[in-house]
Amino acid sequence: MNGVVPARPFDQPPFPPDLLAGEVALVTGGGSGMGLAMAMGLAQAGAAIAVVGRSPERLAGGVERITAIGGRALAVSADVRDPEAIARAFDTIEQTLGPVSILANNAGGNFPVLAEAMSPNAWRAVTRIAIDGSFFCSAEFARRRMALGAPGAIVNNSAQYVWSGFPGDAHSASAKAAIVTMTEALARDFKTAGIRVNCVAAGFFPHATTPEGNDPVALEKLGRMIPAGRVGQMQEFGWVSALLCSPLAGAVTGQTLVIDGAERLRRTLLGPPFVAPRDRAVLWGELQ
Amino acid sequence: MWLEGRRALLAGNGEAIGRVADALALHGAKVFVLSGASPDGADAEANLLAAESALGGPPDILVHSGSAAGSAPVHGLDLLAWRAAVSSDIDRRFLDSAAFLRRRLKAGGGGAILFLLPGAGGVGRTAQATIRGGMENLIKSLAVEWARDGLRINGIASHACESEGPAEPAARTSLGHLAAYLVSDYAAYVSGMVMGVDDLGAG
Repeated sequence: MNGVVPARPFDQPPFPPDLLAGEVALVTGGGSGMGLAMAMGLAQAGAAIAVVGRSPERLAGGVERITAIGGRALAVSADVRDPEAIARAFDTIEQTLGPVSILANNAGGNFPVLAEAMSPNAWRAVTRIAIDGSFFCSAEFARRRMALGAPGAIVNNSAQYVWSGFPGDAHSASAKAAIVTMTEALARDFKTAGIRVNCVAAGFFPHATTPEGNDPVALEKLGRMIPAGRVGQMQEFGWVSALLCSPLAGAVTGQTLVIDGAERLRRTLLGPPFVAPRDRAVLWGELQ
Repeated sequence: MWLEGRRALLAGNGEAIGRVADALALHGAKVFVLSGASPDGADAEANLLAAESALGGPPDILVHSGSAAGSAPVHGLDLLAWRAAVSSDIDRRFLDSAAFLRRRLKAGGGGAILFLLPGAGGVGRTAQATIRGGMENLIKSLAVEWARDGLRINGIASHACESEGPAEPAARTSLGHLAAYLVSDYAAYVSGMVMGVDDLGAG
């Protein structure tokens, strides 16, 4: 039976448009990809959005998308690995939109590379953007919320491969696993301040900057690999991220929600012969 | 409304099942709370038919809290008590789920199953913790077996799912919204997953 359940359409969000009215959400890496999906979900729920990242062009593209659906959005350039730049970004946002009350730590990078071929810079770039970036932004956010005596919500971006590791992806597999643990640790540290910290671990959500892009034939083939019978749609990831930051999840903290169409659970006892990552034509596998 | 047009059967013991039933109804579902079921799942088919008749059609949501094992130190657990706990909590949930799947296949539609599980183990909670571990892997296995039937299986493991314990009222409210979201089609890409509410404890 073909029981593939389609995603709900983007223009029918699960929230009233004022669920997060008056909230200001800072989304790192919010100009494109998964970060933009988080930003769009939060904007659909009524939050004002500040997208923070390194590329002004990418941020401008994100702002354009958010304002096109009637959202309020601001672009602020900063490198999340630089705590002083983060503090300045918070200042800038505060002056324009007001104090940041929701933080979405999404900034990250990823590419296939064998561990022995990985340059120290490649390792540092991926791990520091994810681990240092999420930590520095969360600490800055918490200090400001505590100074105001106000609660807040943080949502982090992890990945479905953190429980298994990912050959050819040592940098991101390590960094994204750290995010799950950091989520619980920060949730404990910030609990008495009323700052909730949660995480979404996503599976396959193709978008313009993933290898298959938006090619419908490739996406159809990708969908067949996944138990759910399809790839994830960006709004599904954005909505669940916004849900965790909303009063509907007002007591949810320290949690990681996995959204992967059960992809990580696929397993057979017998299968094609194992090919060592070093001997593969394509490190992360080929689309059949 | 997340659950407009949906029919939910809620089974199992404990106060959480009533609260989740209220939350599902708040989000638009028609709900039927089963009471007095056989602890070993022997009447699973009959219960589904009763729900179908009460709801005016086959339920496409099953929320199941099983029957949480009591607390007792390991050296005080006798074999009969252990067997009764496992049977009424995990066996019954498996048998009810399998019966639910068969009805869904007959009805030609998908749906969602959500299991309510206890929070983390601890002294005297060996039976509960063991069953929770079994349930977590049951969830992961069924999520793949039934994925292409359009059926999703998830769990919420939290002290908020327990009748007694340290959970705050806010945690119980969040449990209801979270449960409603997870069984709705907005969570169509979420399956084989177990998460909590606020189970950080005193740490």
